[in-house]
Amino acid sequence: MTRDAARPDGTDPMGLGHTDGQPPRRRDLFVLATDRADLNALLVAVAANDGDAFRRLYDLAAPKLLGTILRMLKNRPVAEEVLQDVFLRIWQNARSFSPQAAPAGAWMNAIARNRAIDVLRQGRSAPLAGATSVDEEVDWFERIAEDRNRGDDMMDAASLRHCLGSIDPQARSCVLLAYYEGYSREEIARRYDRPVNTIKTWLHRSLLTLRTCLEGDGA
Amino acid sequence: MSDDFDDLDALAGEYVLGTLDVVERVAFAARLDEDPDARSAVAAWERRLASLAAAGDEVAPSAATWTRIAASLRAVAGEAVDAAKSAAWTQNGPQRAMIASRNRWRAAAAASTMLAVVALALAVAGSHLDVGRHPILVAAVNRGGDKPALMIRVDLVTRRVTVRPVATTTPSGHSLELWAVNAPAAPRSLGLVGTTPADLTMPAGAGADTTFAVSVEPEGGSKTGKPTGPVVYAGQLVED
Repeated sequence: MTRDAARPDGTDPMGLGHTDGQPPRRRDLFVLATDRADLNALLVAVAANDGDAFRRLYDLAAPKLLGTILRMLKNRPVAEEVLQDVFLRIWQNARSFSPQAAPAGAWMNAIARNRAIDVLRQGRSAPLAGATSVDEEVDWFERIAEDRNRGDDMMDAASLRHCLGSIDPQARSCVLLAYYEGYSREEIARRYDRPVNTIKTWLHRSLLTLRTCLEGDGA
Repeated sequence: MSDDFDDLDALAGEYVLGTLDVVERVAFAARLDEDPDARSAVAAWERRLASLAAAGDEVAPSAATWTRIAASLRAVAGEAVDAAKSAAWTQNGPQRAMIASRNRWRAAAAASTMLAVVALALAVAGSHLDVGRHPILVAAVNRGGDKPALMIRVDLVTRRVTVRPVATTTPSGHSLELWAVNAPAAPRSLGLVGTTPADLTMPAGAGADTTFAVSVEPEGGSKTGKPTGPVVYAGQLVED
């Protein structure tokens, strides 16, 4: 995964051509230290009502956030509406952003995931037929294991991979399907043909394992 | 769960994962407004899972999405300028106008999309009802910013619940059903919300920390005993 030569570096507010139909690109926007500093600085400027900074923040962060939302909703028109709502919230809440608490990428990603989950749970978005083929499944654990995080996040990512690896594979995939694709307990239960309460137990057990493991490693 | 994994941490973890059902989720979001421990637990889970975000693909948005965002910005900025010019904004003009701008944006954000999910603002209700000797709690159940849809008054001693609809809207062919939510227990129905005030009884286990939520159900109420439709209103009790 190389840094895209065409990406804006803070001097090119319109640089990312918003062309449709491009294949999705993977780029670790959230982990490169320079990106992190850019995003943090832009978000701080947005908090001071800087409209230009808002546009640049959008150019840098919107593709990643739309990827997150679309992966969960599987409906492009609704995903773009949610993206719009997410950026309204980013503008509106920028003053509560604190780089010490969470980097800008993680802060915005949490807003996007929360909005996407709200929409999913309210039943206001149905996956578009053919938007993704059902069998086009991603093995998220494999994907995480391949990912070569760099910068400050490298240690965090390695610890999380290690700790996810200590969870039973089926329970682990419940956690990852929920995180990445917005599966509800009921959807996971149907997929694995288990009672919902079993899934709830798996989720709780996995979360407890993760917390214990991460705190052990991180101490 | 086990002793070292308390309900709050499990709820917060599932909230961040997104696996809470709709009523649990709305109730927990309402709790986040009130409970710093819940906010810390969520922040800790966000931190633990943050590096997962790197594995996702990017998708370039259509140009129309930015156009709509920019149009909302301009519309609100225009309103803020108008507000700044009016007599009400003559003192501390620019700062106040900026606050006005953000507040109006908040309204625009809610109005700009059909997807705006119920905001969980809780109005502290100044009820003038007769309080008597009993601790009386009230909840103004609303969707944030508007006037309350529903006032709920609870006497914790007699366990009597008075529900007063103020501005509820029931979609035709449906009923609104009121639920008491004490996660992690399943939500319990208190009954349907009509157009006239109703006296109900607090379910066992419900108390001062109960969240009230109203869902849209088939006419006559949920057939499953659990909320099935979208939650349209929610609120928590405050002391009267």
